[in-house]
Amino acid sequence: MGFLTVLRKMKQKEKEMRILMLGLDNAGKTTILKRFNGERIDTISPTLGFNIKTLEHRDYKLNMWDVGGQKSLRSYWRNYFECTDGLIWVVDSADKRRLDDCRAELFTLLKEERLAGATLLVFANKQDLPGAFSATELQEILELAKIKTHHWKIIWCSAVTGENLLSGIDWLIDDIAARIFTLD
Amino acid sequence: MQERSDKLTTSLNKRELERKLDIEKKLEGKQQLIAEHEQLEYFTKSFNEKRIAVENALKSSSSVDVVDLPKHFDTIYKSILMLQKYGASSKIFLRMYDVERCHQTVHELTVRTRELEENLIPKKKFGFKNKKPNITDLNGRSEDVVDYAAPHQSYEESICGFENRKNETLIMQKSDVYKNDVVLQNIENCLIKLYGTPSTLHLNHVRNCLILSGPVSTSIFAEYCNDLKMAIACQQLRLHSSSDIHIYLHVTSRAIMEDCNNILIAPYNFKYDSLKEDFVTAGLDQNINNWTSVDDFNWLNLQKKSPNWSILQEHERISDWDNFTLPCGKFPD
Repeated sequence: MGFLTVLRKMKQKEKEMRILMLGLDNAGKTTILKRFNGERIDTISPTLGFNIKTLEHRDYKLNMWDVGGQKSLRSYWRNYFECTDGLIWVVDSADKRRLDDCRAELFTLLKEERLAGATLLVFANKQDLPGAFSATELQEILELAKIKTHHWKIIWCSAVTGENLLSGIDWLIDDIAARIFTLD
Repeated sequence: MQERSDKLTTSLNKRELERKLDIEKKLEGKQQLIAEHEQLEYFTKSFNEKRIAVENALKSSSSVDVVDLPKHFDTIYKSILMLQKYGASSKIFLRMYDVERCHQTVHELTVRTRELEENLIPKKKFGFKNKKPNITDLNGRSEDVVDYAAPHQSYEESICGFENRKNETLIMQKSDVYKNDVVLQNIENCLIKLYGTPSTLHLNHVRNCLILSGPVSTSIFAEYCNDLKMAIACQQLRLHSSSDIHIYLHVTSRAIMEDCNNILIAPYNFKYDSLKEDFVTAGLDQNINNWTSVDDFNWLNLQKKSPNWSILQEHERISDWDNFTLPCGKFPD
């Protein structure tokens, strides 16, 4: 039994999942994390580096990694890929100017071997802003249908109001759980 | 004598009881084995049925209409997933060998499906092309160049804010900006005044302008801006690829900059009638101003201050915005 197998077995027992949250800067990654954890969101500063939170949700222990999205930080994203069970890609649905950037970064990420097998949840965030693209529109624009290598789903949400965050996370957990408890 | 016979009877009885228990146990074990066997048999049977269904679907692929193919394959992928899940949920009573075989079957099916899909659906060349043809296509670029940076103008049909303006005075009132994502794009030599509380403010390619804004409830995001003077209040300031900017800043969390230089910072001093109420509306605390807390992403040295920004000396600060003129000349009325 290799070391990784032992690790996987341990993870199964503790129902632990490692979730990596990425996206362009100003997408609302930290706000989602803090809102989900019930913390104040009005004092959040742009993430210089990363935040880690361990949350208990539905008997699962979620290790959430929120890594800053600034251009100069994106090259460090790969340091966080190892052992990722779920990937949350956060999109600022109102930032129409950078959607091409957003798609390009996402597809570069999905080519990453170490993320193969991770479930992908796309959060269409900032739905509280007027003029924000809907999840369906974003699915089209980000060409998500092209993704064949990962289980994915796009879900609208607003980190500011907290709407729909739970249903997104729940889907992610269910999908990961179905996979982790399968022999790989 | 009596005692001895008693002892013998007790031990005999005890042995008899033990024997009976043993038989019962064995029987139970046997039954369990049978049940297990039945479970296993049932599993093998239904697993095989499901597998055959997938295989049949695969075989019929060639007769499916091209238009319906993606949907057809989606269904197949889904049934393979169901198969995998079925195997996983039955893991408790399966032998290692069965688990291994299930896994192998699922893997084989997936590979076969993928191969068939690649053969049947002509794969488009992977690339991000514009949906609408635009000018960049005329510059002799071949079609299959992966062009990440090409502008998708079509996304930005209706913006709240201004774009492509020169030498103008641009003013937005409270009701225009309230809870909106305000965008200022491709603007040169303008005076811009935003009264009230936008939700966010985006600046993109703004040059040689004066920007005065009320409190922005979340973030201000500026990119490719040069030669600006601005008085802004916000929760977060994010400044990218910009230079030569004087910022009169009120920020309740922190400001960051990336690929910027010659940024000079002073405290916020834009004043208008309802400013105080606007701070409340925006959810910003007027008493918390971290205008000197700037993180430079290109300068991670804690001992030395970033050379890309500094504090604007008091005698160099402008206090009266009403009579201010840009170096390029007076603003038109």
